[in-house]
Amino acid sequence: MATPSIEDVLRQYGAALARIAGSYERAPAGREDLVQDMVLALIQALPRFRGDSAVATFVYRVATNQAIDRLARRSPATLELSQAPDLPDPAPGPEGHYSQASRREHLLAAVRQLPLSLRQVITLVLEGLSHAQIGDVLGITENNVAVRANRARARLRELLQGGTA
Amino acid sequence: MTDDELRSWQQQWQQADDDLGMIHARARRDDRRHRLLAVFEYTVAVVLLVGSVAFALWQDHPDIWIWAGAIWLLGLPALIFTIWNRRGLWGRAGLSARDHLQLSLLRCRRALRALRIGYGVLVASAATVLLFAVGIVGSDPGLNRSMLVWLAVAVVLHLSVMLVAHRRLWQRQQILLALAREVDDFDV
Repeated sequence: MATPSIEDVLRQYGAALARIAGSYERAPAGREDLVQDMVLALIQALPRFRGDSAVATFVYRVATNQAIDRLARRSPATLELSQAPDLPDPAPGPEGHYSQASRREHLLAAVRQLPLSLRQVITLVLEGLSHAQIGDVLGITENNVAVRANRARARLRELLQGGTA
Repeated sequence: MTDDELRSWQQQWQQADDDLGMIHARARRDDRRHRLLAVFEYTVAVVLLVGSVAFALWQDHPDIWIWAGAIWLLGLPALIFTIWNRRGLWGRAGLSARDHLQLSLLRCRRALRALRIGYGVLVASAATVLLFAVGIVGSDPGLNRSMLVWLAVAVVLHLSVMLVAHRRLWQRQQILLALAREVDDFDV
């Protein structure tokens, strides 16, 4: 399998990198920094891609690993702050409905509140990966992915409905 | 729990689309900086080792030979340790998240070990300079006060940097351990 160029990878997966970064970083500047770390890691890792996994698996692995590194570089105080609830008010606004963007922000904020083991799985589920692919990315069994995905969906539903979970 | 619910979430999730043009350019610059830093680290070590011998040959003074010997005695083992300490830490790409967490923990432990060795190298370097400063070693007997002042400043600066790095690494290790525990807690 030919090694894809970084330009091809970013064209195909750039938006996914930004979305995954958004599930770890609330502030736009932090998200941008994390995406930059992901792109840098991809630039350095792609020459060593040997095709023993799908390109998608490889890209999501690198992105997820950079997010872990980012969490590990934070001070414990910042880490706790990032887990503080930041859900927007779930009640409809004066227009009586959510805009698409605010629904998305609401979903993103709920995902950010999940513990790491559930967040990793649900972000990849939302990206449309199969349980087998998610297992490959995270290094866990498909059975484990299924259990975490179910728990993550239940927690997410509670959070989106305004519960404290 | 319905598939419609999941599809609706996926639809909302995948709406976001960002332009990574500028970020790509910045990452390219960062990549070049990282490569230069990696080369710089080893270049400094080689220049110090080779330069000390070249300088001693050029000056041909017993004191300079003692200095060069001290640099080799401390620098060469430190360089060998640095290379040995990094074995197995690089060259692997695209690890699964679980393997990556384990590798990150290993990197932290190795960096902490390097710091502990670094404290030893700092003490040994300071002791060498101190021996010169008080005239126990070298042909210039007597107390060299300016050398002692520089030694004190250098030791305090180095120690401060090392202690800050030590604290950060220790914190990172604790966070990584917590993340690894959290991920493993969900094993079924």
